[in-house]
Amino acid sequence: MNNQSRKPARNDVTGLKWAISATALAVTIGGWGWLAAQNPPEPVTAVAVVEQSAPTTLQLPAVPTLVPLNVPSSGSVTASAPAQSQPAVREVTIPAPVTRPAPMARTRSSR
Amino acid sequence: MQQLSFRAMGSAITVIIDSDDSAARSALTAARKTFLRYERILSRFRPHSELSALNRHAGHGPVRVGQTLWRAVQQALWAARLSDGWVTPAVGAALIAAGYDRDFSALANGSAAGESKPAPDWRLIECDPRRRTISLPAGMQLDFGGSAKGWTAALVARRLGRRFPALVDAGGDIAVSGPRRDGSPWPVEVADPHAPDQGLELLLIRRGGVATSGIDYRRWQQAGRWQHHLINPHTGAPAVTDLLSVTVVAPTLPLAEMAAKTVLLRGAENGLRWLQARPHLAALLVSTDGHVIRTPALEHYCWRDPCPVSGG
Repeated sequence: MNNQSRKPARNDVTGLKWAISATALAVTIGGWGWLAAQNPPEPVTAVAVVEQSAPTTLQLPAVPTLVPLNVPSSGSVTASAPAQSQPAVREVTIPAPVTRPAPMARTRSSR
Repeated sequence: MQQLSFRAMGSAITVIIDSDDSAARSALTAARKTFLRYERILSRFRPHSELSALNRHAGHGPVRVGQTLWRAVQQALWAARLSDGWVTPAVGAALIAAGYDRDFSALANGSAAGESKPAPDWRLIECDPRRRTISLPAGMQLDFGGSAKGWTAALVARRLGRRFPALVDAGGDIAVSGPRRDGSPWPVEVADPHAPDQGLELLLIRRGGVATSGIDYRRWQQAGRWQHHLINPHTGAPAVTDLLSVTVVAPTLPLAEMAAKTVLLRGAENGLRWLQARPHLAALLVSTDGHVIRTPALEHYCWRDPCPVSGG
């Protein structure tokens, strides 16, 4: 029997595939190398440190405090730094006084 | 609020119902009838009372009695048991010997002094529940002065309390059925025996009883000596005590009544020791020299100004 068309040998196909893979790998590696030569890596920058010339001041909400009493100055009283502004005086509601209930009966020795 | 005041059992009685219901009026009338009926049965001063008939039969065997007298005797024996015999119904003869032989309102000073001797042992009273009979030993006379009034007041308060918040004041011994209709306690003032128009404490009572025993009121002169109605059963004579009055708050009025009398008869030192073993009782003691002693449990009942104003 005669083969009308001759199929390529298995060994030939395999060899061709290996050749193609090797070429592709070489091109890839070469390409990376070329790219690296074109774009030098940027230096790694350190974390930014904010430097301030003045100490940080925390901005707190206004805390209501009682207005200090006008206590006559004495040797034991230490003057404090004057406040920039008077804090608001908190309004306090005093509950109504509870009245003593009127007795409905009296206990005493038998009458 | 509705109330009714009347006299019964030798005392001023006031019944208060915290209700505007029209039915409360008939309940007040029924309460009064109960007091009067019990007085007819239990009074030593009424010759035709069932108690007087029982006393006349002392030493002559068992006597069949009605339900009310039977229950009153059982209540009196209960008080005697709990008080270790200090509050006993067997002091009738001793009271008569001390001059208390009629209603206090009719008592006259100056009667001849009788011989005082120890009261008969209350345990000699024989009760047969099957036949409902009571036997008194010869010479024993029963008196319910230490128990019947409080027992009746508690019973009336309990009955009224099934329908209304009620307070029953029986001559200063007070029974409370429960809180007032707004849920608040009943304010009860403790009178100062040294100044009867003034109060020593204001108590807030939701339920139970408050009783005061004292020698500041029921007293009379006999052969130049002051006598009073609280008999020491061991001597048969009016008790010699350093206490002028004792007020006790207890879960029930009969218990308060028994305790107040016991403490007064025993005196301050022994009375306080007796109370110490009974933390469910709260007491206020007033001595004859004016000292006021409050047990720790009393603070639970005392009204206090929540915002006291300090002086100076």
